[in-house]
Amino acid sequence: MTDADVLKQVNEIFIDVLDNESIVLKRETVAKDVEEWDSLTHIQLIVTVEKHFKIKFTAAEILKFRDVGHFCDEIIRKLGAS
Amino acid sequence: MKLFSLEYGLFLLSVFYIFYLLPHRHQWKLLLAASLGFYMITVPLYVVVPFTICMVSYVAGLLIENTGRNEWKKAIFIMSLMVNIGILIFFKYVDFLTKSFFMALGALQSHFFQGSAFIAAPSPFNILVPLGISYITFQGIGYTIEIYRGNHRAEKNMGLFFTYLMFFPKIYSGPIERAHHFLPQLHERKTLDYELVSDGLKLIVWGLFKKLIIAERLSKVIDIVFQNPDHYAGIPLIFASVIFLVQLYADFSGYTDIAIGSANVLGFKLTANFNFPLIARSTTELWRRWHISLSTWFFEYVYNPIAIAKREWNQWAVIYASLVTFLILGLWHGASWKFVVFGLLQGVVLSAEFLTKKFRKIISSKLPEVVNNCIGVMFTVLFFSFSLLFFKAGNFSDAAMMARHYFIFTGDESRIYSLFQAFKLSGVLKLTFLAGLLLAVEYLDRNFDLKKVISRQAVVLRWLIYYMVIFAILTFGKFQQEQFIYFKF
Repeated sequence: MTDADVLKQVNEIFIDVLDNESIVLKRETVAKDVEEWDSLTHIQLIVTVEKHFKIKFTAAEILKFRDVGHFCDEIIRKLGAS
Repeated sequence: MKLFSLEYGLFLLSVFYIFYLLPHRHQWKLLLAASLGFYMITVPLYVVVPFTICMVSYVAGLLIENTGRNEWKKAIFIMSLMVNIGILIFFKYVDFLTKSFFMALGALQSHFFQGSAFIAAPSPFNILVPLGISYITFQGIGYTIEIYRGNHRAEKNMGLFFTYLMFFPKIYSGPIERAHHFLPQLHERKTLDYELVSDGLKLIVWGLFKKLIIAERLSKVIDIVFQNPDHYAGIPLIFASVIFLVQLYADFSGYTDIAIGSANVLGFKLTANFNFPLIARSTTELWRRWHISLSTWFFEYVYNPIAIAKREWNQWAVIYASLVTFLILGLWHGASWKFVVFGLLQGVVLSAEFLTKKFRKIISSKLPEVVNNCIGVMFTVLFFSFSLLFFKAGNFSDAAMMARHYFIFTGDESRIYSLFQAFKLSGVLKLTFLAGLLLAVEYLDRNFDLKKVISRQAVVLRWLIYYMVIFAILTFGKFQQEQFIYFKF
């Protein structure tokens, strides 16, 4: 799976969970760039991504996510390791 | 020392003059000495408490960083956490916990032994709570968590670290500064930055205006209602609770402006604590705008770990984490059941907003934006001011009585004339004017950057505005009043 594929699928998850069709994620997107992405919805996004890609992050990994790009890199790393 | 006193003004001025005369390597020493002196003015011996917190956090940070084995890192981290939280519990909650324990024991006793009391509660310890203990402890805990998570390097210079935790403008009531934001500033050489000093002074003056004119005048009238909790119901009570919200905002943001302004004068930038919270369209949004440094701390170090650990529960993880976080946040405000209810109310409404998000989005899509915003702001202000009954009332039973009265719209005490009886027409107008003035200035500043607009005016007009504000503070300000509301937390 390429970086672009992961980003596209993550984007779809964001649209679905946050119920906002207009979300367009970039690698540098952070929580404050997306109105509905707050501390409460963050956990839902993580859980949905984990289920979708069939991966599991550790608490320490989740706490270190900096932006969408970093999040996607971690997904690819996990997919490669599994 | 009160931050709105002449003594504080002279103190800040003296530190300012000496600070910029000193070479870089001595600047922090002056700040530490000034901070220790500032703290010791109240109860000199109590400086031992923040000193211990600083020492524990400093040593723990170095040990965690330099220990190779993860189990040792964890053991040191947990030990430092226990000591810091233990100190906080001892000074702030020992009487509350003892009383609650013996109350529960008494209830069990009367249930199983038909009321024969043979376990008596000990007399309260009445320990004097050291000023700013919650803020210093939270900064110390936050620092060790970040070192433990590997996000920051431990500070090697003990003096600089102590200065970070004890920096006098923020020592009493924050903002709760994060190490990665403040410590690098202590390493920088500070030279006189005219613009920053000028901004700081303007912020101090505006903070004084909010505290000494607006908050004080609002408080006088509100106290009539809160000192007679059984005399008011319905509209007058709702009016008083909304005015209390404005007073609390004027008081706490006034303090924060003075704290941030004082730091600016010395070349430091502190974290913003408020972002015009009275326009929040939901309680979730309000907590992103109100006491930001505290809510961020709670979200990062309490909410996130709980929600992540329980994420398999999906949306219930969010609700569980919100309730636990706000329960602790409520208790952080004070050792009393009324603060437990205050916190839980926030948690319940945040959870309700989270669960109804999609439904509310559908409803709001059918209404014009301005109507949506007005409904959102109105509901948020009304709910938050209602919850503040538990914050402001003298005790839990008064708060519970006022909460019941809040929804009674029949009877003499709920009629609007009881409001005019208490405040008189001129009082009601004065309250509305002051609350309106505060909101108007903050709104203009938010949208048009008032400081910049004023600084672009001709010299005469600019200084006329400054002198008018200072004149108003000196003429109408109440300098004999009590400390800031948040000092007791």
